Amino acid sequence: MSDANPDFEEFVAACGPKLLRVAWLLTGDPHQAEDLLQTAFARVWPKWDRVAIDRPEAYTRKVLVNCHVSWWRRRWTGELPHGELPEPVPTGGDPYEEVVVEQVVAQAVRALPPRQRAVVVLRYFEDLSVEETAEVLRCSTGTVKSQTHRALSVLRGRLPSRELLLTGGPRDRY
Amino acid sequence: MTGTDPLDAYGRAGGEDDWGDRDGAAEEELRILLQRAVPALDDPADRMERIRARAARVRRRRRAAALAAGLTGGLLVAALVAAPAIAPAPDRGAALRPAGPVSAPASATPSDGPTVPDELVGITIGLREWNVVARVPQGWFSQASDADDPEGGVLLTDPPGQSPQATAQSGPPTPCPTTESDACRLPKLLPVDGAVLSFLKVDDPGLVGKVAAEPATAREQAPEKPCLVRGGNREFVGHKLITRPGARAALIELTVCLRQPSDATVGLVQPVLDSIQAVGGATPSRGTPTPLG
Repeated sequence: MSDANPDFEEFVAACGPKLLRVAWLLTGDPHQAEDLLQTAFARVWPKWDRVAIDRPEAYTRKVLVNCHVSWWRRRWTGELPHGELPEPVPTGGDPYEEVVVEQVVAQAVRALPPRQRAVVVLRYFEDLSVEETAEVLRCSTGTVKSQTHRALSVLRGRLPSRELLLTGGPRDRY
Repeated sequence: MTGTDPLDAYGRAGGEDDWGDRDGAAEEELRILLQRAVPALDDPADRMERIRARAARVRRRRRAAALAAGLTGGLLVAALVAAPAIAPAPDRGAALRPAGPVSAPASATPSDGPTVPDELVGITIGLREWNVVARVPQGWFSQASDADDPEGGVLLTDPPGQSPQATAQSGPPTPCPTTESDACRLPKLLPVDGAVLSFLKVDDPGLVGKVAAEPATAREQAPEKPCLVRGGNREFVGHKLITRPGARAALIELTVCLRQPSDATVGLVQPVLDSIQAVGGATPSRGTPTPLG
């Protein structure tokens, strides 16, 4: 293979960390996340001349998310949604609190089917609109809305209370 | 679950379309949880090298798959010749066309490279968005792929059974009326002094810059698996940058797999590479053989 385009290398360096976080939320595993990220970049690279002109980060994110969905379809890895999650009992000020948050939220998100998981990550981690999410997932806005609804319904039943996860105690509105 | 479930508010309290607006606060809570859930992740220092290696592997796999399957589509265009000067069959059916004289394409890029021998004749290869002309010996044949892949190309093949070697390896002559016909597939083994040429349009901006700065030279490399399984024992690879008015330059990778080639056949590799040039506009319709002459 040839030397990489310098612009592309800069893009990988700049956007890699952010997209790696998206990949982690999708996969729940740091190694799989890096694998997914590199796969997406490798697919974008040959098209870089065209991609670089128009929103390369959005394009790469789209490739990444769709790679993940297609991976899940192609090679089922034994991942199964669970109705019950281990009930964490974190307390305020616990030094392991961050780890608990990571585990509980990640497990709850991972329990979602891949498209619902992608919808949640795109809408609530990447802050994309319904329309933008639909464009990434190549589906209708109605599908995004329904997938979001289903995903949040599942999360509602699986995520423990925020008060137990986050420091600072219960908030007034709850 | 606890009784103070903050995500209860995610439940659709109203109409189907506006629940998200009503529960903005609850959605914000989910955003916070997601942000806090992501651990500190290490970015490997060699990420770019790994990406580069992955892209190279993908390219090799596509080339190998196309070679292995003949008309499976993909990026590949392949050619087979049992001997450099096989006479064209009188009736090869609609899908096979022998190479013929080049009919001076109006918008072809004038050749400013090495001289191509006059005995070579032009044959067109339809690659994605490009028509490419290569000059090959008389008797080589082309066949379009009808694969759905937008990168799909053309199969160039010898007419099966037109030489003793080909007859022995490919069976009796068989008309090739459609591109789906098995008769149009490459034989499993190359005949002695036979060759498979694959033309691959490479989307690699880095390589484009490198090739543009150097003369197009075919280099011998260790035969890769797709060549070895066809009995090939020598392999050459070369790149040629082609241009046409109003379009970005395109890079064509020529891979030549040879089986016990004569010096004359080896001597054809560089002229064929030199002869590659763009012709006309975008590929008009894929899946249609495009003979010249």
